[in-house]
Amino acid sequence: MPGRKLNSYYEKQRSQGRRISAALHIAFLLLTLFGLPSFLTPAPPPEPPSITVELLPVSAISNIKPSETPPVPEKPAEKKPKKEAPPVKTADNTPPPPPKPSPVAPPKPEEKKPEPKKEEPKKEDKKKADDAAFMAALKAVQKTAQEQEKKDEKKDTKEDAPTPQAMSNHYDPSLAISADIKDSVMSQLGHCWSPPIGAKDAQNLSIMIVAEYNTDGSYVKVELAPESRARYESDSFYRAAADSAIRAVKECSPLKNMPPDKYQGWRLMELNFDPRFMLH
Amino acid sequence: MTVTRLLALFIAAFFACATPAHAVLHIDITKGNIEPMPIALPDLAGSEIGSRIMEVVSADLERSGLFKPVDKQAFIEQISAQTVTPRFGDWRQINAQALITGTAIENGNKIKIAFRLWDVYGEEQVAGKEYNTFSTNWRRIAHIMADEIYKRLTGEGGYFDSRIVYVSESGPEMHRIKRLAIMDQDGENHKFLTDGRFLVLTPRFSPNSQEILYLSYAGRQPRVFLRDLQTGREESLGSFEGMSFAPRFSHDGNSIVMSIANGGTTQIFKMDLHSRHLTQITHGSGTIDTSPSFSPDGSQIVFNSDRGGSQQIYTMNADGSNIQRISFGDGSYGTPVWSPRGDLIAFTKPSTRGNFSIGVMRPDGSGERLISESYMEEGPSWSPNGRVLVFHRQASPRSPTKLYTIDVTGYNQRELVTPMDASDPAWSPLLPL
Repeated sequence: MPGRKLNSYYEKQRSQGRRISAALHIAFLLLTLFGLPSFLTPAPPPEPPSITVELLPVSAISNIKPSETPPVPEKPAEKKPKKEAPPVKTADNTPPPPPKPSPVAPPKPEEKKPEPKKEEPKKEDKKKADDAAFMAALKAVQKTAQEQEKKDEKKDTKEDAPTPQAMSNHYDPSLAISADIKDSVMSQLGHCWSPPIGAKDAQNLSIMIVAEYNTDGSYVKVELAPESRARYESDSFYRAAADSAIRAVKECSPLKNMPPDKYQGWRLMELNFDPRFMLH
Repeated sequence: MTVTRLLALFIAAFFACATPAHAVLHIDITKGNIEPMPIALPDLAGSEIGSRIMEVVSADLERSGLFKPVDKQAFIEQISAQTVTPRFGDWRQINAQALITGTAIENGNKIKIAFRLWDVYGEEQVAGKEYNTFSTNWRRIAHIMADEIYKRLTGEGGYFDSRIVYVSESGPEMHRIKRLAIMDQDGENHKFLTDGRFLVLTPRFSPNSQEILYLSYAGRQPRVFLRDLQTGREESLGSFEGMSFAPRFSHDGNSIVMSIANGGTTQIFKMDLHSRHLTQITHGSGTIDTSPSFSPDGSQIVFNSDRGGSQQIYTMNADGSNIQRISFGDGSYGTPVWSPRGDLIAFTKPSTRGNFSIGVMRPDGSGERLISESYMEEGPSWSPNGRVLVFHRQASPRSPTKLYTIDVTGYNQRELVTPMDASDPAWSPLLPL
């Protein structure tokens, strides 16, 4: 009977509809539970423009003020014997100054002092004070950098690799995290890396290393990036440069002051050792 | 059902995409540390000659400025003939990045030397060699070992198994005695080649044999002489109309280029050493073209000329065509010499302050750098690997003339000690094995 056939048809349609509806509801529920949080995670802040501040980080005032920054006077003294006198044995005093976290400690008590006195309305004042301090710090750094440039000759500047002391590894959560990690890693690895600046065509000896790290900053694996391996076998200059880069990563392990809460962001690294900017 | 399956696939795909990706942090390391590589050089186990050999190896590597031998007092592990694999942790602890182990065995008047080069951080052997020779060759073996180590760790050939010929000077200024002298690149095995009766100048080594060219005033007229250092045989390359000077071998050692001054002009000539056929290369009118030097591939010649009004550096094809000026800085330039690597040309440059400098530039004239300066210095000559320059210097008007070496980067300047005053050095190729 037509009526029964029609009812059967509609029943099938309703059944199918219910299944589709159920599936969509489930999908929506799952989306809500697992997908939306990732959508809601704020995008990482854009990286600030790179400012070549070689001496000190931008985070703390007192870290900048010490123009008694030890590496500055030491480096010119190291260079002079090499150029003028036969006793190049002055190369004995090569080890870089050990990292001194102590300069980082003193500013903290100063910052803490005002806090107990003025807590409630001082967010704006504190922000203004921070901004003022930031600008003062930048000026101080620029001035120091200009003075440094006047004193040093051109070819000396390539030895002014930022030391772990000069580029403090102090971790400030209020700053862009990625920039801090990069600067810290660059500083540490740069200290362990002896680039082949006198090699033929040294400007073409850029080495790409892929490294995986543990949470404590020690390396798990260090190897040449795939695109570099063919040249490693055929080019003796390249092989020597690659070996020096790999050695630098191993020697500078474990990396210091790596933020464990950002571990997934720095676990895998692609390190491009490029001596171009150290050449004349 | 089809729709349901599609939805299920969609959900599964969504979950796969929703998994947070592991970003790779890219970092550019653009600054490094210009420090020599710490290398541990324990004595070769076995014969006492092993320690003498390692002393020479250590001195060679340290003098290059690229290596810093670790003090033996700091060694934790004592390497012996039974050492198969070093305890790398012990060597890392004293900051050694490379390590040599090996043995030296004497058998009558012969020695057998075996060594292995280890990458301490990589914990693997990266080179190893064995040599058998007469005991009297122990010093050369040391230089050859140093060359092997240098080559493996820097990527470029060494230069330790080579010699330097130069003009030894003595006596008062008005009666200067100049003799040809030769020594190992570290100053050892020094000996005189001429007796000082005649003035000698500008010795130059063949790039592929133990022959030298030099200018001698024997017979009162300056002439170019060719001497075989192994046989001692010497011959004049002929009398030329005019004065000949600044002789230098071609890249293959089969011909020489030199300047001949005649009729108020000085031009560059090339002579085939087999046929003695002379060919004029430059044809300037009233110009002074001198100090020719071949490129290592023989396709070009760099030389000095005043054709532009002042003493500048020019390059040209080996046949004299396509003359191009490549020096454009303030002041004048002289004594250009092409690096064996082909990538640089060294030169002497008087400064406006009255001093002299040694500099380098690329063959197209770019990248000019002055790497040394003093009251008077000139006459650079390249090491066989094109990494080091030797030149002579007079630090002040009354000071003696001495030889110095310097790395092409401008670092690691050192005096090369000679028995007397010294000038006009020329670096040999690596000695034949």
